[in-house]
Amino acid sequence: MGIQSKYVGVDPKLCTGCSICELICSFTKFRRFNPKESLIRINYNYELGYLEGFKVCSQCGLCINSCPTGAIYRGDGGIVLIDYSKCIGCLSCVNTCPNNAIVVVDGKPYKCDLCGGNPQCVRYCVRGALNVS
Amino acid sequence: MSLKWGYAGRILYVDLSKGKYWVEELKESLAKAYVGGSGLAAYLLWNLIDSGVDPLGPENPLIIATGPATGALAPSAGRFALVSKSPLTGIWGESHAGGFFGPEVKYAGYDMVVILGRSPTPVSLVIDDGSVEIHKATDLWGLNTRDTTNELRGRFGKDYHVICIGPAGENLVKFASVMVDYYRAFGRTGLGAVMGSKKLKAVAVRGSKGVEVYDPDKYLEVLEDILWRNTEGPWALPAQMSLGRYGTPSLVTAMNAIGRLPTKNHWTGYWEKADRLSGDELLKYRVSRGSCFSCMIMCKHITKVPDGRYEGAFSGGPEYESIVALGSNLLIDNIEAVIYMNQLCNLYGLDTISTGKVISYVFECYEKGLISKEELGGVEALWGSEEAAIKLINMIVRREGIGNILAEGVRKASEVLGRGYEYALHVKGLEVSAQDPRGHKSVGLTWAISVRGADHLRSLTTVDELGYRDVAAERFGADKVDYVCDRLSERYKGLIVKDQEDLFALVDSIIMCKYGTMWPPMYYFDFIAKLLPPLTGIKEFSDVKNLRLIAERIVNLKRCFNLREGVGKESEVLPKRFTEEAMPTGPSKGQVCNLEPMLREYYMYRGWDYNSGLPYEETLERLGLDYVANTLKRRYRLPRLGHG
Amino acid sequence: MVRVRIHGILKEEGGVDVVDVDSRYFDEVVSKLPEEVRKVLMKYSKYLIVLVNGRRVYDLDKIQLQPTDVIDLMIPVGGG
Repeated sequence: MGIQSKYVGVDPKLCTGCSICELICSFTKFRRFNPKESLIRINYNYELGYLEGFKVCSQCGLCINSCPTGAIYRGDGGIVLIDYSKCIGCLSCVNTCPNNAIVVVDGKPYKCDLCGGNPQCVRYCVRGALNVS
Repeated sequence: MSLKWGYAGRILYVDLSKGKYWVEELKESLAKAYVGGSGLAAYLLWNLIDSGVDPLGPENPLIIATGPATGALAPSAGRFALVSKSPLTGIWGESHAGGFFGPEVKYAGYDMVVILGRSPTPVSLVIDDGSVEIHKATDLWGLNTRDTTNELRGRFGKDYHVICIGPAGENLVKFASVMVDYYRAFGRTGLGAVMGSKKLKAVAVRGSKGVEVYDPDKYLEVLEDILWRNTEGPWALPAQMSLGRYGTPSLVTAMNAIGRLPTKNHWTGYWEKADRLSGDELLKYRVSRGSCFSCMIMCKHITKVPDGRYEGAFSGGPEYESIVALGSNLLIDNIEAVIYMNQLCNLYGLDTISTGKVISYVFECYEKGLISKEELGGVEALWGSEEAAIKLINMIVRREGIGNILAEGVRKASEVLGRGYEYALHVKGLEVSAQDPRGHKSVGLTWAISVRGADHLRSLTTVDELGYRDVAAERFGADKVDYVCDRLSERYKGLIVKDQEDLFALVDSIIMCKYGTMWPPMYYFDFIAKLLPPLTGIKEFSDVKNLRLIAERIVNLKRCFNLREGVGKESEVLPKRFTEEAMPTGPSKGQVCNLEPMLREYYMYRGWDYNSGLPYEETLERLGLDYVANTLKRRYRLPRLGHG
Repeated sequence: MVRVRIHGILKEEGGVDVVDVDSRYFDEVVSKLPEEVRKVLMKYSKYLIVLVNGRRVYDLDKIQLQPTDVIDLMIPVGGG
């Protein structure tokens, strides 16, 4: 497709494992605090003290063609979005995603959409470990 | 209205004697009266036992406590508490820890876990949402805390969080700790021994739920406020550049500069070699900077010794208290040795503070010829001897030789040995922490009146450490600032310690961290009044006057717990070192701590009678603690302000 | 000679931990510190905490120093 989209990236050396990105994401999207519903996930190894895993949608767009109702599309800035008026909750996109970055909440798929352009996780990361790439 | 915002609304009870568990509803009236955390745990503990229970017996409950903010995005909302009757002191036992275990308890669907009874054989408690299982842990018994944690996470899943005891708790060392997520510690008051007495090796928890928010729009304002305070507010830079960057070790040289860095069993408060244990010295050994769950200050660090005698030493910390207890307190200036000993205490599950003060008691007795090398099993307990300190730690954990007596804590040890009482530094049986009342007078009051004993975390005031005049003026009035901020003045310390004790009662119930409240003074009662209502939906929390009332209620309940055990004002005394021995060196040279005027002032502000050491009955009535008054009256004649 | 001890981030960024200065007044003391240190003090001037012999001093212009005085420079820290 050739469209370069922005995505949320991390500098692992700066991450302290506070999980505030996960908390603000789940709160922004679902109005409650549950890291397992966050669209950005960290796996911080608190025994050895380093960021072992980091998962957020890279806006690659592979899920777009997996959707039988055409609910997934590229919006402004190339960010991949889901139109919930068309989404039937078949969750084919979840299986297609190479990063496992699509989260299922209350039966529907959700993915990082950079909060429409001003990602809250980046704002709330006091350490500045998160960025928009 | 059922409790479902902030709170889980459920308390899990586990009876290890019967191998049973059940869930009870957390009543809204209780949440409104005690908030949660150690405040609510105080209510539960008061009602679960009567006076005289053996802390190491099956009747003594062990309570894992979270607050309404635990698991949410709130200031350091990863912290949680462990509450029980202390085997070290025989009175109120409470400890707090950070890490990530606390939120997981809430995510599993519980506000509290109350552990009753005693298992006949070693077990671990594994909680996975609604599934609660008691597993055999005979194969884990004897393992250090790191290996225990790795074993359980390997067996049940890496997403489980673990609290556990090490050999110290298993051997019922009276100041054994409970370790959390490897390096965080429920350090003080010997709660590790309570777990050991129950043959409970570990608790592992995993949860899939979240924390609901009553008014998300309003709560978003609170979140933006928290973000502002930590990025642009007046305390943002100091929080990041002092506490964040260096961790609590940043306090070593600052406390030395004001002459209250405990040195040589608190003989003095100033050490020429303090720089060798400073925050920036420790920075050289840091391999990572970490954070507790939901905290923007991020003051945790992991250190490693790359070579030399202690090559390979690897642990979270050491924190300020540990650096003092195992360093300047013992005249050990080798930071690598301190890192190693801190790791040793973490692996064994030992309170570094009590351990250090027991060892310094031995060192001073040895110096003064009160104890012989033979009695110490060949240990040459010389000041500055890393070897001696390490040997004593091992003897204490194994209860080997004199270690068996030292494992009882410094008060009992000095009684059993019949000597060195003046070098056994404790209040109510809890060894003193890394402050010196001669250089910071309010500490004397804090130690004397705190419900745990010589405790720096229930009411330590910082407005009078380096002198934060703006904060003092705002909270106490411009007319009092000169005295309030003067660390060497006893005036108004009753007022500020009482105020801080109230604030911390809430902090320990919501649960937040002392960093952000004790210092920097980022959050105060007015913030709490903004935080709790949109989170919980409880409007009563929006009134600062009511919050202060709840705080007083919690403090009074805990103080009365001690009274019920027969421990009162006669125990509110300081070791003579602080009241009679003028500080010999340093910036606070010549000072002693004059406790009485501060104590009198404190009693006045508390609404307690100084002469009897008891609460005025009106105070308990005002706070809705009639049930407490009725119980106390079985033993005491409560004074009344009014007549008739 | 007044001893000036520099702590924490001021020490890390200024590169100096102790300086002995011959002076009676605070402004003069600062002017005699190494340039890197002066720059750092300017950077953190809003947060600067000055102790003289362990006592906090707020009115820096009014300080009159004795030859054996010790000055500690740091940014706010506390709570331990």
